Amino acid sequence: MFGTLKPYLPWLGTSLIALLLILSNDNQQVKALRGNFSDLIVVGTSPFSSVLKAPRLWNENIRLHKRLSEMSIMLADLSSSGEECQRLRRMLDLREKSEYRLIVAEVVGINPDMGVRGMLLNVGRDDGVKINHTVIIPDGVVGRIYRVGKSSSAVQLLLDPNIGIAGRLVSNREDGIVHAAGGRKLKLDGIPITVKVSMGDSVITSGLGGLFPPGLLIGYTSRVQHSASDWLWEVIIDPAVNFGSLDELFVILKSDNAE
Amino acid sequence: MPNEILKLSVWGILIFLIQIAVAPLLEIKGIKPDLLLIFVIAVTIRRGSYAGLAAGFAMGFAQDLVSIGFLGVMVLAKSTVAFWSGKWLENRDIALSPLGWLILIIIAALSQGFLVSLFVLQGSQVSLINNMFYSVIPVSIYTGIIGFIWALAPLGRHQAARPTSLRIRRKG
Repeated sequence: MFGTLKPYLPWLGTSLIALLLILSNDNQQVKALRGNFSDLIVVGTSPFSSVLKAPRLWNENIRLHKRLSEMSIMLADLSSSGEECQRLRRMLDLREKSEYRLIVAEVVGINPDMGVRGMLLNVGRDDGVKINHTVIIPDGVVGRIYRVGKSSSAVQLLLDPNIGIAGRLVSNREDGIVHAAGGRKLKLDGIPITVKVSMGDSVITSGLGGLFPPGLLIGYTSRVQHSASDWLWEVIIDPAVNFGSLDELFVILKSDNAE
Repeated sequence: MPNEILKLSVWGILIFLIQIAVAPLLEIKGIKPDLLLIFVIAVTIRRGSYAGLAAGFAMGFAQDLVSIGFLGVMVLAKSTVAFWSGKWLENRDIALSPLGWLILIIIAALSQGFLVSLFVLQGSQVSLINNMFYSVIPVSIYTGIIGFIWALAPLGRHQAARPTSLRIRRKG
């Protein structure tokens, strides 16, 4: 019996260690180790990524300049909309109260995992970043800070299957929960079928739950289908953010009294 | 032997950094190749199931440390896939053609993706089939193609030329 098993013992041992590691995920020392390792990786990959990203950043810069001009015109149009005015006023309030502050972060690496969607940033505890801080780009919400090291942090993207955020349809103020829908789509759950959902409608963060500030763009509705329970819609959303071309992001730092 | 371990370790660290910093540039529609898996399978083909197991453990552990997923999941997936790929090759005593690399890496990536999905999707809204279809299968095919290109390159061709058992006997 032992003779038959002998060639497989190393694999059984490795699997046992892996299972023990899985069980130790909540251990503070393990979390600290992962944070420190991320710091090390940021140092190791920074020269690589800076050089490799240069041509892409050049093109991105040109594209963003063009986009900025377009957005200025769009902003002028939007200011006439009452709904958008409210949002802008809220954003203005936020700025006046100084509860939120943005810092720029550079993407150092992207997790290759199949299913888990995350990114490694070059900002960490030393920059004031904390777990659950929101990560955005001008297009919309990217995700939340999942783990923080001294000079690095890991972002959990909205595409990750294990994230859920409170979302709201702009046109009718209906609230629901936004999840990953597989691939590059998101879905908004919890919308009653009595509600009329129009395609192309903006979905924003509602601020419920306190994790994400309200009024940040998540995406646009692209399809509606019945959920498992027949009285609710499952609204498929095209994310506002192109997750494939993220180089620089903003982390929203909350002051302690805002958290 | 220690030289070989040192050489493989340096390669492993280099490929890990490339996976983190450079692989995102190879991204197509959100799909990135798993270069670490290609490395692990290459070690398995060259040095057999036990070396593959060790490489899978080390690469999986490093990947887990920077990942936002559960620590240990990639360790389990990569070491399991490497070990059983090695056992399969040793039992058959075959020399892998570049096409063989393609198929082996695709199967290894599919198995790895399936194992990871079982853990990652616990309690999530995304179904296993959905994740396999949108994430695991495309990543596996892309990784297989990169592995195929690697096998066509001079170094890869050298590794794939002889049956596994012969390579283990000579190297070991």
